[in-house]
Amino acid sequence: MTTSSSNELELTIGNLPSKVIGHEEAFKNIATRTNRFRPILSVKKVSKSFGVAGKRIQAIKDIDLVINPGELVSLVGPSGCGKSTLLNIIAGLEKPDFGEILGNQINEKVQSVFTERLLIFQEASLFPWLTVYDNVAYGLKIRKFTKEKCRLMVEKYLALVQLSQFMEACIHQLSGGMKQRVALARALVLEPELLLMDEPFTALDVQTRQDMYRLLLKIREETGITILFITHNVEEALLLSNRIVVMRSRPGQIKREFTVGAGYPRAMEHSGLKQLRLEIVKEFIEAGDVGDIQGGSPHEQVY
Amino acid sequence: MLEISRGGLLMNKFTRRLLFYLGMIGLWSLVVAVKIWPEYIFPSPWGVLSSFTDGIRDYTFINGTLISLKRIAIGYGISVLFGMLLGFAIGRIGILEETVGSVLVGLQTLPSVCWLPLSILWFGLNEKAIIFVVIMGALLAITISTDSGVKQIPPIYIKAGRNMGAKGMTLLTTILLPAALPAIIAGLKQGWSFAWRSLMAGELLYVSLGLGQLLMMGRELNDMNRVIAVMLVLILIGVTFDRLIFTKLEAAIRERCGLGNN
Repeated sequence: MTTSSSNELELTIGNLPSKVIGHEEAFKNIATRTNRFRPILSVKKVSKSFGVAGKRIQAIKDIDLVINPGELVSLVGPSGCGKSTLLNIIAGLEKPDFGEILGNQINEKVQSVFTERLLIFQEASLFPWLTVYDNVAYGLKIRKFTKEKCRLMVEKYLALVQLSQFMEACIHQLSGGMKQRVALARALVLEPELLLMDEPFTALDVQTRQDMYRLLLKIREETGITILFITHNVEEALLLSNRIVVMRSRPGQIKREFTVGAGYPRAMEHSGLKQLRLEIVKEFIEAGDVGDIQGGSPHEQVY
Repeated sequence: MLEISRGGLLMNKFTRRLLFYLGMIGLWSLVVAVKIWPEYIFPSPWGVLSSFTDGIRDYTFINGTLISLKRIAIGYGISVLFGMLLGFAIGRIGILEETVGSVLVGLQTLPSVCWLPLSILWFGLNEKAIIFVVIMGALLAITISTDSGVKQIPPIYIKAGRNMGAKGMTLLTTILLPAALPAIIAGLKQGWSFAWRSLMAGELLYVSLGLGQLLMMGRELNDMNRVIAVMLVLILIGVTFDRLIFTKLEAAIRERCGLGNN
């Protein structure tokens, strides 16, 4: 199904595992400031409610979540289960009503620097008034990096997302997939402790999405970055993550966790993944919570 | 091929426009030649032209223009500075929106020249009073456009910026300002035309040097040639600012933000 893999991303989905990224291997490039024996993120008893039309709506309740260095964890749940709220809280954009968020460092000061956890959004969040280069350099300039250092870093990460030749392009000249790759570079260039991805590929077409999966796995292999990935697409979660955390809605709570043992690249034909998918989907059906969950019907055959 | 035909069209457009103007002047001369009205009511093109060149040659027009431009530069400059600050503050701070914001909407319905009596009582018959009216003319338009421009910024840009570590002044200058810039430029343009109108209204109403006074002097001397010549100067200044500065600025912003033709 993928015919256009002319680059080094020869991880055609459909082949069975050729390479497994274990935690040891993923560690090798993590920024030296990370303490690899300590969780990258600990979410402790976090709750948040909103006032909507005069009523209090409990968005998430008593969320406990631990993410270890090098993991790629997917948070799966129907729309409105509070996934994005949780992600915004983790990113430091919102404050929880109760509970706390701890980072990798013991030092309290570092913990409060939420920019250690960078977000990639579903919709286009690139600044249209800046070029690709200036978008990626944005966070570096705020951190007062020198021009030369900026240039080196931006070039490195644009090369990683294979957009080196679009450095001076304007944002409106890029396709949807390219925009998400720039967004990826813009976050990675700051070498965050944790990359938070809020349904980043939902707006893309199937082919582009497959390319993005491969790119994301390749980047993870090269940088050892830890990722928390939100999706309502069960297959996406199965193809990408080490661990899948299933959420239920009203109020948003963690229902069950699944560990995905298969190596990469993965294909949905893999019997273990198929079995896992059935189990995950069953969780939603039991709760009557199917909503917009994709890959929802247990009888559905994909590919 | 396409380029050539476009070039041809362009030539045609200019030729057509030139012919139109020549025709208008011809018609004008014809009406004057028929002598329906005396020359002090309906001046001739050559009379206006000589008054225009006289005005340039003895520096009265140049001095008048400089005085008027100085006033508008001060008044408009203050309006731009405070209008944008106020607009950002109202756009970002809820309590200001509810209080000051509602006052502004009410004040904007007041034609700016209506501030003149108040201004004269406060400052006396002098330049300060005129500048105050200019400020009141432009300030509200700039404030309101900046405010609405700030409100229309997609929240995702602010979220992304904050997530990458921008806050306070950095957030203002690197995200809020560029994201609201198209609306701000529209406000600056509108503010300019309000300021210009207010200035002329003020200058016409009392002795003050400046172009408005030259216009009034023309009336007092029954010098219709002078009146029309000053009006031409005013049109030239207006076109210069509107077409050469604001239109170009808007086009540049549209181009940069990709809001252009594609």
